[in-house]
Amino acid sequence: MAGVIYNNIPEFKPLDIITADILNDYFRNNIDFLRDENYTYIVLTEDILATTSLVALSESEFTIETSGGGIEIEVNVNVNNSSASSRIITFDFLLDGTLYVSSGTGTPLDNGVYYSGVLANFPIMACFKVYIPPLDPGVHTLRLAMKANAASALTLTGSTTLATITAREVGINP
Amino acid sequence: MTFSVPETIYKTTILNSAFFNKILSSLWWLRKRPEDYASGGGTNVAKNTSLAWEAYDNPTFELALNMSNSSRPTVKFFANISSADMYVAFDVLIDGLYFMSSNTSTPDADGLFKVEPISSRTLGVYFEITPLWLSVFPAGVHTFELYIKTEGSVTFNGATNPIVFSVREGL
Repeated sequence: MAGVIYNNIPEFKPLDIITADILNDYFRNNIDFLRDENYTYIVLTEDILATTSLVALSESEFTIETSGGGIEIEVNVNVNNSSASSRIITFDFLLDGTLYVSSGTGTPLDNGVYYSGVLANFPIMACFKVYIPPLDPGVHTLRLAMKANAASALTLTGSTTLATITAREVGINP
Repeated sequence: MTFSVPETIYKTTILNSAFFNKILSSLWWLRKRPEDYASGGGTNVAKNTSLAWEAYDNPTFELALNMSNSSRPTVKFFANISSADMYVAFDVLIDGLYFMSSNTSTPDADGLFKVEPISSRTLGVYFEITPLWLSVFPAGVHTFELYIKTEGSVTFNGATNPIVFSVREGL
């Protein structure tokens, strides 16, 4: 789960006084942060049917507190196609209430962040990572969004396979 | 060397070598976390488990990771497989007990992942997961086994592509 916040390290100069607070902030807290890497996650344990509209799944909402870095989001889900016809699945994210794609524009591309065909009556595993450039420090809300090209066939199978969404803060610059 | 968060410093704390050794040890751990891996290659491996969960055993993908700290491990698997419209599901057994997908000794219906290569075509499989939903594992040796369940004959194409199962001390 979310750990302590990483503190950007200043440049120390001769005659600077190194206080206990400085040692705690820059040694203890930063080392603690680097080990845990500020991970947060959510596990989906239900089957969720994709619709023809891009829907941000309320079941997948979770938050991450950042200190000025970007966010790496990792998705591990399975999608099953129960139709006799091939289908297409699209994923995107809702970041702080706005649909987001890897272009960083905040405007979703036609095919979102991840786009895959699913053969008739076949399952696929969708394992992918997305990098979001640095955001303002604070608590950010994420949801996975999903869309199918046809209704009533594509299901995110959280009840029988792994369905996790993980996020961690990355790329913190001084 | 092990990882440990340095203790809180107070105005009256005397900084000694133990303090700095702890920091250096933790930095070493952050640079090089303990890991173990198994690699199968050179030959194709045909598997047919008839819808039952079985350990992948050619070669044996049973890893032993000596974790220097209590943590959750990161598990990776990479392979290229083919089948004639037969599905294969993957799961991981930890310490002979925990399937990652369910945190019980009984795997969920289709484990962590389930895929189905179509006839005469190959399919790349890759996953990297850290079971954050499980309790932290204590420091010490832990075993990790790759388990599979197949609908019929599935070939792991080790002759042409690497098959790698690895685990690394994590969060």
